[in-house]
Amino acid sequence: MSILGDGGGISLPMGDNVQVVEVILTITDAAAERLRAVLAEEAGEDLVLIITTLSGGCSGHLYDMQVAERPDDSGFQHLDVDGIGVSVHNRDSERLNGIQVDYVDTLMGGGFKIENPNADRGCGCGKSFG
Amino acid sequence: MGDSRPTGPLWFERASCSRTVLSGADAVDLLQRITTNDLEEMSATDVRNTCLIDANGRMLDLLSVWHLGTELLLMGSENQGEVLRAHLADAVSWKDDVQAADADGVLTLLTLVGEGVDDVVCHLVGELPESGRWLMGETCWCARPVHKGEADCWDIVFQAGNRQEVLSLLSTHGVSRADEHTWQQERVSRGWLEGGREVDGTVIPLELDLWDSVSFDKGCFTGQEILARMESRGKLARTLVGLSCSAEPTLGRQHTEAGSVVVTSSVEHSRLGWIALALVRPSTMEDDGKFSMQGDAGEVEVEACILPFR
Repeated sequence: MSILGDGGGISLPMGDNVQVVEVILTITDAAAERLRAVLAEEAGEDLVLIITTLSGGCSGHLYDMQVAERPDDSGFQHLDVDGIGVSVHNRDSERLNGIQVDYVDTLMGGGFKIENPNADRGCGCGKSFG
Repeated sequence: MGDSRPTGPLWFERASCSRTVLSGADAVDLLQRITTNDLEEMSATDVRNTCLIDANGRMLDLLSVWHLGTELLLMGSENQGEVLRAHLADAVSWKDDVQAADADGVLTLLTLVGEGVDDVVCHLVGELPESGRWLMGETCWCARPVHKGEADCWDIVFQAGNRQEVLSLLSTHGVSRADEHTWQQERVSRGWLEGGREVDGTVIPLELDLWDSVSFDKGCFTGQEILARMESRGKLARTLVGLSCSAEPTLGRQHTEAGSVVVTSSVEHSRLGWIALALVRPSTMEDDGKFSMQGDAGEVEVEACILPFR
């Protein structure tokens, strides 16, 4: 039973008041090569890279990247970047528009890196931006 | 001297403290990502304090989180509800299964203070809730308040439809309603924080002695780098203290012989005289804590003390 009882409270809009922009993003050659390898290793049809921002991290937002089947949700924008399918939710469109996905391979730990022109700040680990 | 404090236990309605109910599978995870304390292991009946801060570590709200099983009840500081709700709305990702409801009109929050309130709480919910836990009675939920405090204080929450029944029970057990001045006497003398005064968007939780509302080992959260740096250096730029004053002090920032002082609250207390809460340099407490500052009617002699006032 809800603590709100029959009164119900007033439902609050969650994530609805966002500006939607048409996303343009780029993927470096190194990242594209790595992504094609990852996509080839995964089982499934119509696989895409889904890039998301989550609240949290030192600077306010975190990047989240996953390979999954192309989302069947009208809230997504679907892009073809050099033959790689990328999906971005409208809710993330303003924060992710203009990003460049790169891949860095170093002995001290490489991985995908995102350069984001919308970020005013980032944290030491490179996973958080604000 | 101000109005005398009524004798016996008191209740005060905390109408300006926001009451928000979160539900959905990712509600705890969302708060874990955007607030300072470790909430991941919370289970039903747990109560924990946590701070909502910005990326610069500045306080946006101080929350008491009550885990109700399938819902989380968030009780915020005074007048910070809009900030909290806007922040929550912005923080929810398309991946998050989180719903939120504004419960200000549905749930009432009272704080009970004073000698004898423990007996009243036993009448309301059957026994005294353990520290960090809430208990439910027939008409209300009860737990220790968000503020650090002495033994004789409790928060109770009830649905609006139970108002008359709860107030009648309180009256039957000799608990009187406190007016604003009496509440401020209680609050300031105990060093309890208020939204818009101590919690104001310029201060860092550690400066308000909210160490128990911050986890340093839970991983990343917004503003974490700032707090971790302060903790590792072991130094604070300022700290919240009590001021015993010879007269009414002027609220706000002023420069004194003890350095910059920000008076956040003041009240004329029936026993302690003029008292205030203020942010001062920690070195002030290492000296004798005495200095003079500007008051509304001239110079005021003050003595800083560790909270709460005795």
